Amino acid sequence: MSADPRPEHPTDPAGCVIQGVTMIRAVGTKRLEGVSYETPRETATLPAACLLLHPGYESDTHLARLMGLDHEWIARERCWRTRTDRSGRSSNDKVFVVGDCRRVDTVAASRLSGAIAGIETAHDFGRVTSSESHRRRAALLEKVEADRNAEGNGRSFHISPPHSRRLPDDVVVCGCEGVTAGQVRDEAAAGTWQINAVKSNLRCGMGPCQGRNCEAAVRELIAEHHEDLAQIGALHIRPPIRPIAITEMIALGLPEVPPEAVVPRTVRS
Amino acid sequence: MKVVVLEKDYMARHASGSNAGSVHHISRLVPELPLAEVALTMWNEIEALLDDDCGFQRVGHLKLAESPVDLESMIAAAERLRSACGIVEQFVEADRLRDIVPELGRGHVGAIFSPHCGQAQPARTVRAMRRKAQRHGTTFVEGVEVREVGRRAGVWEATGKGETYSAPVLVNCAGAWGGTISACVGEPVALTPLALMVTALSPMRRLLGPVIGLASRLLSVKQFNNGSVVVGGGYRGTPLLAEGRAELDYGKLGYNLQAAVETLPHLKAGKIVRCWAGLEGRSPDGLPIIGPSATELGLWHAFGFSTHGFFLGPAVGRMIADEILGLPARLSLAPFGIGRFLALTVHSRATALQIRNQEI
Repeated sequence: MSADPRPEHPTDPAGCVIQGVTMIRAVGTKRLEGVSYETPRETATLPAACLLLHPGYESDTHLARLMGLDHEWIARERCWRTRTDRSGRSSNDKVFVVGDCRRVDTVAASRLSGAIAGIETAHDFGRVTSSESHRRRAALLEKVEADRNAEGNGRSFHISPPHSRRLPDDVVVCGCEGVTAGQVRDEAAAGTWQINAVKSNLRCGMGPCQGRNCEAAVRELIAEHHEDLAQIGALHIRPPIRPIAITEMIALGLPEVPPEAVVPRTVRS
Repeated sequence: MKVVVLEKDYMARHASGSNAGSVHHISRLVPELPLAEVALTMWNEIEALLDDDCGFQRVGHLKLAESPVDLESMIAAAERLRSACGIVEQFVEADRLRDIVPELGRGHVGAIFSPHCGQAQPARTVRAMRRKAQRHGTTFVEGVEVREVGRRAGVWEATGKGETYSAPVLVNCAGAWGGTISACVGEPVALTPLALMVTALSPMRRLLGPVIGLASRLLSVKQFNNGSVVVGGGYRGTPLLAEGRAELDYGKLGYNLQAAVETLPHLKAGKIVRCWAGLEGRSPDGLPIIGPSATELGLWHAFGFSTHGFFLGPAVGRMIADEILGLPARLSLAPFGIGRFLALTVHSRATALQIRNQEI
């Protein structure tokens, strides 16, 4: 990690950085009054009028999962990633996955991933030769690596999982359905470790966000009782990936009743 | 009696957890009505049975006629039902419909209201059954797909995932996969896999009382206590049985929702949160397969519930248990015998059609 020039100790809370924080708690009765935090060295509370939380970045794989593309478990980042080749081509050869939804990356690398996929697509359509495609992609891939290794760019921004393991039981992890950390732990302790089985039992992941906010935390909580994170699985994603107006779906509807939907008539005997 | 349940995925993974939670009978399936009456009684006492109300709400079911032809058909079905069972149905005149459902669109000419019917929560019901069964000593084994069953020296063996489970009695309740199990003992049934689509709308102002249906085209609309609305009725997506999943058919889903909005115009403001389709099996004649094996001792079947297994479930469990224990039968399971399909391979096609037409 690169050194941060701002002071560590909060003698002047404005503009200081506290590192190694393992727990954050909003404090107050009718409104936010302060923020408590824990580090290995101390527990303290700072007065605060506003708290901004950022849990880190994770690629949004919902659309890819809905499409049924293959995914692989990335153990060092503790997350699922859409499986692609270096050009971004997925397990469906007509689908490329590029940018942040493939991996969290530097801005330049994300942009270049689109260009790389574009060159491969041009090759698919016979617009460039194999060697031309290879040459141009190789040049861009070099730029991608250079940017990733550049000063200050080496960090990965995935969600830091150990925090989930310190969550008190009464913390709500699924805001859509109001499911607490304790409830997830109880399910896992009772032997339910597949994330979709936990979803079926507790409804976490059934709300409008479909687990965008809670899936990682739920997975880590289950892992307290079942260590194999990959086995725990990924939530089944159902369409639509964002809520849509009922009229939008109706617009796709058949103009006439499908045959199986016609109820057979009963005649008077 | 020790019971072991072998589940190929996890409890409530398929039809038992993904159905829309309707608790009502299907009037035109006359041979099924005595069984439906038992099921309805059990649902109305579900809390005493399972120590959990399973989210069952006796909001009633209102089946609407959209035309005079619908009305005739509905009345004829009601007459047949009256001779077949004691389920209460009340006729509702057109001018009284909005007393029951103020939000109803215009043009409905009458309805049948079934006051003891309603809705429940599938996953919750499965969990309640499991908890109660576990308290009585039942073991649930998940993640074991039984690929082979056979009887050896009077004992049934079910094999899956390298393990063999043995018992004197075997019950085949493998849902959409029930025909595969029955085929192991020489009683194949050609189930048609179905993927019935359900849509959940985000919570709306609580307006709906009874579950709403239509007489001549499929529709089911219900609202839960938190305001969320569930629309279904039996529109078919594409089942992918080998993959254990289904794909939606947006053309049919759109029509399903159009029917809902025509019936209840206030739903036009609805937002779709998610759509899904579970996997279940339809039997060749639309009636379930319930009862003893036609070829082997100690084997019972309970599968092929053809879109209404959630409702019938409690009654079917009771019937099968009574048979296994040698208790007197409350009603005849003859209409549901698996033998009727074995006979079909012998009879001519014309005879097969004749048998099916008796249900229409």
